[in-house]
Amino acid sequence: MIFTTYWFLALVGITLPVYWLARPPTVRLLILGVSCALFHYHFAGPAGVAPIVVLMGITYFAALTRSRAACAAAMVACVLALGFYKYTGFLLSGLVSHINPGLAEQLGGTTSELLPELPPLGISFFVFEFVHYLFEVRRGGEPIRNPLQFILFSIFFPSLVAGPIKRYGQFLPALAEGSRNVGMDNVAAGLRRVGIGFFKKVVVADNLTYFIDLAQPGFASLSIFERWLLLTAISLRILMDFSGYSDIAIGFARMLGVKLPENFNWPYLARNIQDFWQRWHISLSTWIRDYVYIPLGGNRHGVPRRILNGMTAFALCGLWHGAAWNFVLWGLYHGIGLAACSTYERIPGLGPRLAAIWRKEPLASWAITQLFVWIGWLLFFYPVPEAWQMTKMLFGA
Amino acid sequence: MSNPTNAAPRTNRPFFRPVSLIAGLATGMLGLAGAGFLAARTNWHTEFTRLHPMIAPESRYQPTVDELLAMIRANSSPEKVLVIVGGNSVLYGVGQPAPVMWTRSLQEQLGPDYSVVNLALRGSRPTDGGAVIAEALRDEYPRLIYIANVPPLLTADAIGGDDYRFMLLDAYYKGYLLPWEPRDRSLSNPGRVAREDRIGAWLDARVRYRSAWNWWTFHIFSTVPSPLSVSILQSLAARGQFRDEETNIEAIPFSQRFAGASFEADMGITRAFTERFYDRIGDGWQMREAARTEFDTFAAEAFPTALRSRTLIVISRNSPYYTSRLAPELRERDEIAVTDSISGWERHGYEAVDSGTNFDPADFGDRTHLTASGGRKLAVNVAAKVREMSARLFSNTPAP
Amino acid sequence: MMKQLQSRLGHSWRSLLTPAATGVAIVISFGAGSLVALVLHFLLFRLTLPTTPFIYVAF
Repeated sequence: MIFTTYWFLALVGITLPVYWLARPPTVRLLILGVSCALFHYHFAGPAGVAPIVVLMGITYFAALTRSRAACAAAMVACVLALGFYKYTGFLLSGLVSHINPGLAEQLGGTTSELLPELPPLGISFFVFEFVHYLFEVRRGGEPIRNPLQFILFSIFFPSLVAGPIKRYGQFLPALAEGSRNVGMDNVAAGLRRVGIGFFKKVVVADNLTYFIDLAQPGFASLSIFERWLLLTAISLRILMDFSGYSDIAIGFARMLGVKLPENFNWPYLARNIQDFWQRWHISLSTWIRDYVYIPLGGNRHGVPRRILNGMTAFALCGLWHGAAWNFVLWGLYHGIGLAACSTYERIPGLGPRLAAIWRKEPLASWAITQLFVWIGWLLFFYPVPEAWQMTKMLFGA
Repeated sequence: MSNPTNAAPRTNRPFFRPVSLIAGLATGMLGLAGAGFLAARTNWHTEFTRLHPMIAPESRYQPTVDELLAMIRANSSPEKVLVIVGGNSVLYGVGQPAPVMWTRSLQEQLGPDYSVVNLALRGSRPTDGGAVIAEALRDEYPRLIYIANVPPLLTADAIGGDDYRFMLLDAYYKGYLLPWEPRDRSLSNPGRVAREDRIGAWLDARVRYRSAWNWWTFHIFSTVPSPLSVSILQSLAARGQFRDEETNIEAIPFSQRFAGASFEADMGITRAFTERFYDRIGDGWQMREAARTEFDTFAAEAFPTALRSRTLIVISRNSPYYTSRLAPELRERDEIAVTDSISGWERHGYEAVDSGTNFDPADFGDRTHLTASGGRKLAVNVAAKVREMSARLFSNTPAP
Repeated sequence: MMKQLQSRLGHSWRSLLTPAATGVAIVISFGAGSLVALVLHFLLFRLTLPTTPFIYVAF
């Protein structure tokens, strides 16, 4: 919800004019800080705010020391917090219970007393931004000394709940620029973006959701054409929903004069999986590239290692989307796709021939890429056996 | 807002002109608000029978107070006694097709000096829907009677149920309601009414977006799919295309109406109908103190004092198909509950009437809902009370 | 292409098209603003009815 609440619209309806009218940049940042704090407290509640405030404190002070060990320790703390709040249940029920059911039950009882009903709002995004920040400071980046700037980097309301995942090196100059020079151009561009985002969400995605929920339970009784139509609706829905969210976040930030990183670039026009991941949830895929894939060795240690690194990165990417096996499998599915995409040309005989076909017939490479991606959404949204059944039924089984 | 000090050079100027865009936004908003206010004064329910599911929240259509007021103004002269029927599915007439619904019979019984409007909503409380409209029209239609139903001694939230509270909030923020401290207190309590709902109603009172989009939904197409429709096209069709197509419960043979698994469940409900209100003392029944307090609190808070004398509460009963199978002492308890309910409501200044004891099993389609024949009997029973109230309340009230 | 045209004309091509282009830009911008108003107005209405949460908020 959040962006689709009257409370949120009222908050921005008050914050924006006050921000625009207050001309000194420091005052604008203070107003923004108060608004972000209100936003966070209102939607996360005290139980959701407290762990984030603790992580903010750890991150802020660890970075100030510029000590590699302190930054590493803070990163571990952030990741552990994410693991605890988001993955405890999954680890216990999806992993430990298969190895030692007694232990899983015992641990389940203990953790259920400690865990809140829901993970703290936006914890995945907080942790990714904090880890990025600590990582960069650890390798020599300048820490944020101004507490207000750090608070705004942490809880900047447009991107707090679902990104785009910010980089502090880009965000702080953008924030400073916005607080100094927000103008009509920004406001108009932001408004347009917000309008597009809400259209995608409330007009397209929500209505598609309704039809998907109506038709999906009877998937087996649909004609082949209708099944493909449903797959199209499912694929379109997630794009419209998520890119709509990003548009709204980017648009509201822009109305404050702040340019956030783009998150989508026509992903359903991608002509290979690598291309797709450069267009889909860009701020996440670049984060994973920079802070998982490259630190693991990236493509520097030969093909097998590169494939392993890619698979690890994508399994984590999948798990980040949700604490369930189907998300892990969805990540691995894309990892396999990417590995195939980057190595198939080396297959003697077949590889170069395929590459020639794709080059000659861009439509074919587009179609095969999108087929792969769209079928992948079944794995993303439905339990594995159901997704497999649906996939078979798409081809007439 | 400050102007950019480092404005981009003219050749890099974005295509969209900010001032024009913002002017377009402001004009658009003003225009749409104007359209909303215009729609709010227009009657588009030209073939209104009652709030059938395609123009009710079940299908994600939330009628505004304004559109219902406009509908009543178009159909009912203030010179007549306006009878607004609220209440739940029993008074809605579930199982009775529109031409034979009980409020048509009530209209026939009362004659041309009365105008009966059925605003009952399925699953609603006495203070929902129709009650709001009746209160909003209290001055415009000085000769107005509001009818709702409720089972004996049953209480509810004085600010209605969650499903229909939008109407109460709508009227509240548009200033249609009387000041009524218990209700105002509840409505402004964040623990009782979600802040979201209050902000939404407050905003709508200023912009009338719901009127504008309800008009669109009714005439052009539904922007929000109806969950009641089976096909995609139908779910998006304009709501004005749908007619009141209530099924005829009389078409179900009597032998099948009460058969099957639901019989035992309904029998259980019937047995326990008034159980929690009474203790068995010797050979008689005595109302529990807690039940009395709960009832008194509800009756005292449900309606503003000034409206109670023109509010008629119909005490609903179960089908004799079930009650005839009850042990004599349980039947006795139910009778006492009806009597206690009537005297209880009257004690608080309301009018109350028994829905009737002259029903046959065939007058019911199930445990609670009446067939057309049952509806006709209800109409006779209620009409007598309405005429009596009208004579007493309005004999000295001149038509406006 | 724009630069080629500009160099051949010897001045900014925009200056040639300015009055018409500006008019078009103003009209389209006004229309875009009105469309944004329509979306926001619809959003206000849509929020009165049950809404579906953003898919990614859960992540």
